[in-house]
Amino acid sequence: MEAKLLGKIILYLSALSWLQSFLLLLFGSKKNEISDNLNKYGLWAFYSGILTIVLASIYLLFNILSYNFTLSYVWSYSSRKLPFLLLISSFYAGQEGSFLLWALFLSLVGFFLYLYLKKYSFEFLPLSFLSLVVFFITIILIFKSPFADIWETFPDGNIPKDFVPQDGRGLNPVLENYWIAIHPPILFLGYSLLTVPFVLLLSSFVKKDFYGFQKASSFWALLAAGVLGLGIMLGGFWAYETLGWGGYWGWDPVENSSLVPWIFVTALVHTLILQRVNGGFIRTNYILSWLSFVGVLYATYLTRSGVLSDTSVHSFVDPGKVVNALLLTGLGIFILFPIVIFFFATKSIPKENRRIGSFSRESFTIFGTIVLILAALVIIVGTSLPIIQDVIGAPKVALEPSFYNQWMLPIAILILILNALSLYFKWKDAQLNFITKQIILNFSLSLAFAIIFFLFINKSIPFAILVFSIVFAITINLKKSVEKILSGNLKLGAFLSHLGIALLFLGSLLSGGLEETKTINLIEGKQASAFGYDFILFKKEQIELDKPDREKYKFHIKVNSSGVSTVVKPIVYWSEFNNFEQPFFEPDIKTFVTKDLYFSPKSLAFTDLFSPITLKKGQKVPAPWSSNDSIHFVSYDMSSMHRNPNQNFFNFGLVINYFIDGKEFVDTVYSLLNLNMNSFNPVWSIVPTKDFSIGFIKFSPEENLENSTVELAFGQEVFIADVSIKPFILLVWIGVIFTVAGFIIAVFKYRHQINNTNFTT
Amino acid sequence: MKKYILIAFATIIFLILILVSFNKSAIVYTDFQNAKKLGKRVQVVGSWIKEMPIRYDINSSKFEFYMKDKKGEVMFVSHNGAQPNNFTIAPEIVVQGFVKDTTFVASQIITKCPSKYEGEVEHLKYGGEIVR
Repeated sequence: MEAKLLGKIILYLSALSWLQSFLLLLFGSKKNEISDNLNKYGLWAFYSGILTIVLASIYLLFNILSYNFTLSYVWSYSSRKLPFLLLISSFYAGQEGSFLLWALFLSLVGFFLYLYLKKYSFEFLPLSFLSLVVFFITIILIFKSPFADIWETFPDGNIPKDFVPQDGRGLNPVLENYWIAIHPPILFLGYSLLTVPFVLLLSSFVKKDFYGFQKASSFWALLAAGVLGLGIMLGGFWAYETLGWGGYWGWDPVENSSLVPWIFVTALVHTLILQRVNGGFIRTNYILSWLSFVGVLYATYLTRSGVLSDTSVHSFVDPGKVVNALLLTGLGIFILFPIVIFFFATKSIPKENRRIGSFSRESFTIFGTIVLILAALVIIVGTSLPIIQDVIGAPKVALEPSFYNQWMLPIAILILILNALSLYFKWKDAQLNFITKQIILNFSLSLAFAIIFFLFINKSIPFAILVFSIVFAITINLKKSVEKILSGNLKLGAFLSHLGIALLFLGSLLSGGLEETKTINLIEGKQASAFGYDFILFKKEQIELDKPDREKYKFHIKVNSSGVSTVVKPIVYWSEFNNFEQPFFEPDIKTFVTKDLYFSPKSLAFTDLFSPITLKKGQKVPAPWSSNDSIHFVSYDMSSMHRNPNQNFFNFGLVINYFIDGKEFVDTVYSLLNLNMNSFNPVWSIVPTKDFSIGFIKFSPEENLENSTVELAFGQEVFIADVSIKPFILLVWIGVIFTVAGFIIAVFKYRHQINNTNFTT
Repeated sequence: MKKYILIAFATIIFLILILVSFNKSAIVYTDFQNAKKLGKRVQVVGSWIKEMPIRYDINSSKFEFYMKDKKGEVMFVSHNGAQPNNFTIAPEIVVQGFVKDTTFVASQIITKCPSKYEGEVEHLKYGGEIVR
C-alpha cells in the first residue's frame, strides 16, 4: 500500500513539475533573462522534474531489489532467482518501466542540454519543449504506473487485500541474457538524444532565429545518430547470437521503427552541414528533425498500442484504452504543433538566392538525403500496412521481407554511389573533367569486381550492380582516408562512416544473398551432413544444475569436414516460466574469417519406430519390437497430483513392468498434464536395454480409471536444427562499428563548433 | 510555391509506387476453399486438430498434421521443416503456403501464444502460495 502511494505521489509531482517547467520557460523565453522570475521559477520546476523522475526510478529499483512483489510490475518481471544484473534489467522489461526509463534518460539528457545551453549562453526555450515531452510521458506513467499493486491490476482475480506473493513471475527466459542490460538502455538513450535537435530547431522557428540553434544541433544530431545506431546494431547482434532468429535483421515492425528515426537523423546530420556551408536548407533541417522525433513517437505507438501484436515478435500487448488514447493524443500534438509553428515562421526565413553547382558536394548530398527519405518512406508504409488496412477496411495481408529487400536494393546502390561521389566533389562547385580522371581507376576496378561476381558467384544483374557500387564506395573512401591521414588531417569521421556503410552493405549482400540453410535431424550417435560438414550428436550435458527453475541441456555436436574439426554446443532448455511446457533454444555459432557456421536448434521430436499400443490398467501385451518380450501396465501413479492439489499441472504416471529377454524391469512413465492449456506432454524415457524410448502420449478417460485407456508410443529422440553458412557476415559487424565510430569521432569535432559569438548570428 | 507542388506530386507518385509493389510481396489471408481456387501463396488462419494424426517425418524433414480453418474446413498440411515452438499449446495457428492437390504445402507456420507470457492473474494464483 505504501509503495504504491509513495510512487504515485512522486509521479504526480513529476508531471506537475514538467508542466510548470514547460509553461514558465515558454513564457519566460520572451525576455530570456535568467534573472527573470518566470525563467527562475521555470528552471526550479525543471530541476524538480529531473529530481522526481530520478527519485521515481530509484524507488522502483529499490522495490525490485527488495523483492516487493505486492507491486504488480515487480511481480510480473522479476523474481528471487534472478542474478543481480538481470534483476536490475527487469526495471525496463515491461511497458511501464520502459516508459520510466525513457523519462529518466530524457531528464538526464535534458540536464546535459541545460549545461550545454548555459555554457554557450543560449536561450532556455528548448528546455521548455523538452519538458513538454517528458510531461507527456509522465502522464502515461500515471495511467500505466509501475507502482500499481496487484489488487489494483487484477481486480477480478479475487486476490485478498493482504496477499503477498512469495516470488515474482520472473523474466521471460528468452531475455535472460546480458544483452538485456545493454541493448534497451542504449536504444532509449538514442531516442532521448534525438529529442534534442527537435527541440532546438523547434525553438529556432518559434524565435525566428534560424542560425544559432542549427549550429548547436549538429553536435546532438551526430550524438543521437551514433548512439541510436549502436543500439540498433547491438539489437541485431543479440538476435543473431542468442535468440537464434537466424539473422541480425528481419524487417520486423519493431526493428523498422527504430531504423526510421535513425535514417531521418542521419539525413539531418547531412543537411545541417549543408546549411553551414550554403546558408539555406533551414526548412529541410526543421522538417527532418521533426520527422526523426515523430518517428520515435510513432515507433512507440506502433509497439506499445498492441496494433502490431499479431505481426511482431517485440510488440507488447494492448495497454488499454486510456493509454492508447494518450499515445495517440501525444502523437497528434507533436505532429500538428510543429506544423503550425512551421507555417507561422516560414515567411520570416530570409530569402536569398543561393546557387548550387550541379557537380558540387551540395548537390550530391541533396540527392543522398532524398534517397534516405525515400528509404524511410518505404519502411514506414510497409510497417504501417496493418494500420492502413484497418483504416481503409481492406482485407489483411502479410508483407514478406522480400518487399523491403526489393526496394532496398536500388536504394542501396544509389546511396553507395552518392556516398562515394559526394566526397570527391568540393563544396560549392567542382570541375567534372578533373574528377573523371581521378575516379577512372576506381571505376574500372569496381567494374572488374562486378563482372567477376556475375560470372563466378551469382548470375544476377542487380546484385552485380550492387557489387559495383560497393567496391566503388569502398575504394574511394579508402583512398580519401589515406590521403587525409597523409596530409595530417585526422578528422576522419565522415570517411569512416561512409566506409562503414559500404562494408555493411557488402556484408549483408554476401551473408544474406549467398546464404545457404539446411535442416538436419540428429539422433544420438548417428551422422547427418550438410554443406560438406558431418554432424554427430555425441553428448547431452545438463547445465545450470544449481537452478531449480530450469532444465537446461547443452547438446555436444561434433562437426567434421576437410580441415575443420570442432564441436558446436547449442542449448535446449525448459523453464518454470511456461511450466516446462515447451523448450527454448539457443544457437551456437562457429566464426571463421570468411564465414559463420550458424547452428540453430528448431525442435525436438520423436520418430515412431513401432505403432503405438493402447492399454487398460492391468493389461499385459506382447512388446511391439519382439513377441518374446511383453509389457504390463500395472497401475496409475498420481502421487504428484496428490502432493499439490491446487496446481493446475502435474506429472501423470503409469507404472510399467517390462519382460525383456526373460528379465523383469519396472519403470514409471510420466506425462506432464496441464489443465490450463489442456495439454499432454510425454516425458520420454529409455526402454530398458534398448536404444529407443517409451512415451505416454494419450489418456482417454472413462467413468472410472479401470475402463480408461492409455496410449504408449515408442521412438527415438530427434534433435532438429537448421544449419546455415553465412559468408562474410563479419563485414556486417565491422561495417556498423565503423559507421558508429565515424559518428562518435565527428561528435568530438563538433563539440566546440559553437561559441558565444556564434549564437547571435 | 511551384517547388512544393512538385515535391508533393513526386511524393504521391512514389507512395503509389510503394503501394502497387505490395502486390508482389503481399500474401492474403484466406480460407482453404479459396486457397484451392487461387493456387498461389496465401495464409490461412485456423487450428490444429488434436484428434487426428500428427507426425514429423525424419527422412523428408516434413512436419505433417491436420488443420481446420475458420470456416471449419479440414485440410492435410505438410510443412517443410520442424514442428514450431508452442505448436501444441497455441490456440491459433497461421500457415503460409499453397494448395497442391489435397495437401496444403506450408513454408511457414506462425503460432500465436495464448498469453505472450504477459503476467496474468492465473499465473499469480498458482505462482505463489497465499500467505496469511
